[in-house]
Amino acid sequence: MTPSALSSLRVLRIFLLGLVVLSIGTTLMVRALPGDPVELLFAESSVTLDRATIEAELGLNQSALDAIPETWKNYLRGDWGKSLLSREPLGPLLLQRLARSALLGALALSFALILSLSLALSAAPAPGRTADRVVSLWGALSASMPLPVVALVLVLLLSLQIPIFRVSRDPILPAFSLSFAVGGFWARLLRDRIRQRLHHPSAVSARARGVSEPWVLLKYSLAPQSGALLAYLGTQFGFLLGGSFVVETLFDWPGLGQMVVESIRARDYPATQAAVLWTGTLSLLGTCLGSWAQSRTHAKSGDSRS
Amino acid sequence: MNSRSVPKWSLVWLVLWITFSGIAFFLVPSPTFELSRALQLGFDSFGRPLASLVLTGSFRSLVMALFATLAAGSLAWLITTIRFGLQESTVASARFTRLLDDSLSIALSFPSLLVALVFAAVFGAGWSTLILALTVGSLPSLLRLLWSQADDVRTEFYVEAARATGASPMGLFVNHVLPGVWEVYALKLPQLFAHALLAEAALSFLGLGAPAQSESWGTLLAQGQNTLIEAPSVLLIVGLPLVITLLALQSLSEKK
Repeated sequence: MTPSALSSLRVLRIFLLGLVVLSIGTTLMVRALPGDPVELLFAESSVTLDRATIEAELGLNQSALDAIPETWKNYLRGDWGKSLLSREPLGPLLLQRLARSALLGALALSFALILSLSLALSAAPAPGRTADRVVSLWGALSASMPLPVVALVLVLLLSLQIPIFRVSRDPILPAFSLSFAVGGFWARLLRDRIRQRLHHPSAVSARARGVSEPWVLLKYSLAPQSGALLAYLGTQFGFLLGGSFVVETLFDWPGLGQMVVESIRARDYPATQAAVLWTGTLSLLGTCLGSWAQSRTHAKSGDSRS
Repeated sequence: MNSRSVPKWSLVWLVLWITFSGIAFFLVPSPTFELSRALQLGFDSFGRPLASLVLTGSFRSLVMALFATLAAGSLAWLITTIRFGLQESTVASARFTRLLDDSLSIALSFPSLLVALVFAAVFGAGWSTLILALTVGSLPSLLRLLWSQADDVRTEFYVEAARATGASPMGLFVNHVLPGVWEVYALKLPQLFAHALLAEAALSFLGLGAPAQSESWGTLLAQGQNTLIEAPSVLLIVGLPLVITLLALQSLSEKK
């Protein structure tokens, strides 16, 4: 996994530095646009406001050094600006979308966990058997099937051929696509991790004491690895988030990922800035919590690297 | 030295696909027009022959991904050399190395697609944006691999010995670190290429990668979505070669 265990202090430093990078990046985005940003908006978006209003809302009427603290003062007050196109305040919108993305993410996470755990548990003790092959195949496919393909094939099978799920505004199919894309890696990793521990002295002695095989599998093979695996899940957070951009757009699921993509398409810069800031912060938080958890398990067991 | 057996099917597929897509891309009028008719693969929603479209589109994607992989691959060596120089230097403090490591950790904590989307937001969809986004997106994971390998090699006894006998930092890097890291690096490159192809497909699928007039694997997938009800075959004809290509590339990176 990561080359070295990170200390808690370093994780905190990276989180704070990451926030600084993110906030400067999003604020400078409009300023980095080639040419005059307002002319670009007039030419390429359906904005109907006058130049002075746009410049004021994008913070272009002041220098970057004044604009960044100003933007942050507003953010901290809970004022996330207004959409250039719909003129809606962004704060409540962001919260709504965050809730929907969280629902999708939680569903995808549980699908992926349930599937990969049960497959890995049945594959680990029986190399070469069906479950083992399924895990290998799934691992290979999730590394080589682009998310749009996975999602469209699922729509084709489970919505058009056999109409079980609705395509639009139904979280099941998008969550399933996401979990297919990440679960393959997890299943493979879990299987290999569990298999490593099956012949560990503690497992062997438990078997000798007459502990039943399923219990050996759970308590002496899976449980000792759970810390490292939880930490790994944290580092997968960004991956899940990246997938949500594609899946939410494809299934028209109104979450944060869709907001990022659609606001970029419509050149609605205040919305893009806020949505990128939120998703970026989420991903930073997930990854940092993951590496922090990893450093904790390192400190405790000392040998979880292998 | 190279005892690893590369699966033959993947090499055969990659060579054949790149050759044919190159032919379809450079020969105008394309011979695949007739091929498309002969194979009965049908036409896209604008009446263009699908087989030829997939071949030319995939060639563009392959070239973009290759560019990005090579750019990231060489940039990564440049940065790794600088980092090694800093580590070996007696003048520069360890703070610089730590700064580099922190920057990498920060870069790794954002999904590469988010970074790519921000590039697209600023510079608009287009080939140069795409290459830039793909390069920046694939750099962090490569750097993490190279740095952790280089750090392992750096503390080996034979490197300590060479250092003690007065080898220069550049000599240490060229004679010890480079050969020590090279194998892992070479093994990682096909996977990086696959990731670049995946990212291209995702970005262009979202309409933020390839420019509107020219087709790529991602824009063709978007067409597959639009005609999913009327002609699901489009998705199959576009998606299947992409999946096989990615499988082939991943199999080249498999440790055996």
